[in-house]
Amino acid sequence: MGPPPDTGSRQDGLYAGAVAMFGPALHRLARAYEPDADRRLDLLQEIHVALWRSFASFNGSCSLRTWVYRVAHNVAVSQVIRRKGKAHALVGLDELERMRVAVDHEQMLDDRRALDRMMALIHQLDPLDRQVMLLYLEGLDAASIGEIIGISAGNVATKVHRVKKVLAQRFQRGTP
Amino acid sequence: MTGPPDDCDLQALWQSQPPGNDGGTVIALNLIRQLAEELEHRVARRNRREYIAAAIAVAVFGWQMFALPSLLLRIGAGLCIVGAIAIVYMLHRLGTAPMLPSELALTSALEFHRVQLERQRDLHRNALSWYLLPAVPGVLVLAVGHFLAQPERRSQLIVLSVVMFLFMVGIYVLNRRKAARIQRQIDRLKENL
Repeated sequence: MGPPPDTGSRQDGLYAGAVAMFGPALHRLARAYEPDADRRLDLLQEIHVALWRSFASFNGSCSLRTWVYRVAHNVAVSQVIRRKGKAHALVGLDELERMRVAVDHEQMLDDRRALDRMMALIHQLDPLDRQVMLLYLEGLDAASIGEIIGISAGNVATKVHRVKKVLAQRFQRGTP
Repeated sequence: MTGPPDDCDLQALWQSQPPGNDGGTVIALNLIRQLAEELEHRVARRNRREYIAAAIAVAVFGWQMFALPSLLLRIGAGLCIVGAIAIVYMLHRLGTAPMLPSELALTSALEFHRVQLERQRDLHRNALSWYLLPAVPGVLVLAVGHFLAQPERRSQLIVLSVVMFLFMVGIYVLNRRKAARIQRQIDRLKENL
């Protein structure tokens, strides 16, 4: 017996809804995983295809947001693993915390430069800490981050604390 | 005087990024279907390449089975065919990810990462059994066959055999090192559970 006749349209509808809600976040996620523009486009397309295919079996066992972020991060991590031989060494949040950096306050006044700097920081992170930082920057709470990544709430809290500390170290603003 | 940024400032800054020139945020459904088909074709092409490599190995050693002068050399060529088929089969079996589209969503990011790393670790850790050992009988019998058939070239054959042995040991050691490195990554991931 084949799938019900409306499966395709349901799948298309779920995909369209997900992209309407999370399209910009997926775009930011692809940027955070892949600095190279061509490879970033490939990754973004791969994420969209995986998402569309996954909705054929969406059963509501988790929220749409959790579903979308899990698919996107898992596809992106696959790319990191595939390319790890060519990539530079990645570090964890604890190592970033220990690194001393000079903060250019003039530079921080410019949003574009601040974003570039933030992206460069994210590109240094190992996949797990990168996922925590991205989900935090997307405004997700600790429980949602834990559900998507699969780590305990306590662990999320520790990592989010580190994320905030690292960001505070590097993005201090000069007051006028 | 300086102060740390407000959490919301950085989150707002992050979320305010424009889509830029690399594709926008929406991909049309017909393009998605097309890309999904291309993905399947890509997998099919990769499988075809593996089968062609196996076919070339079978053709070369198959021809040698008839062309080589001694029975021992012919047996060696036959064993090389078996070895090549075994390696391609194992490469195909171990290298193909059996992940279903829905599993990408039902598996947490940490678990997914761990499973992917474990697959890679096993591929490297077991390189001796699936990559090196299937090739050994054929290579060994061919070496002995040439050794007996060409006594005047024994010294060259000994050097060649030693080089091949060292090459295989090198592949084994490199794979074990890679497996150990991946295991350390897995251990770090497990610390977060």
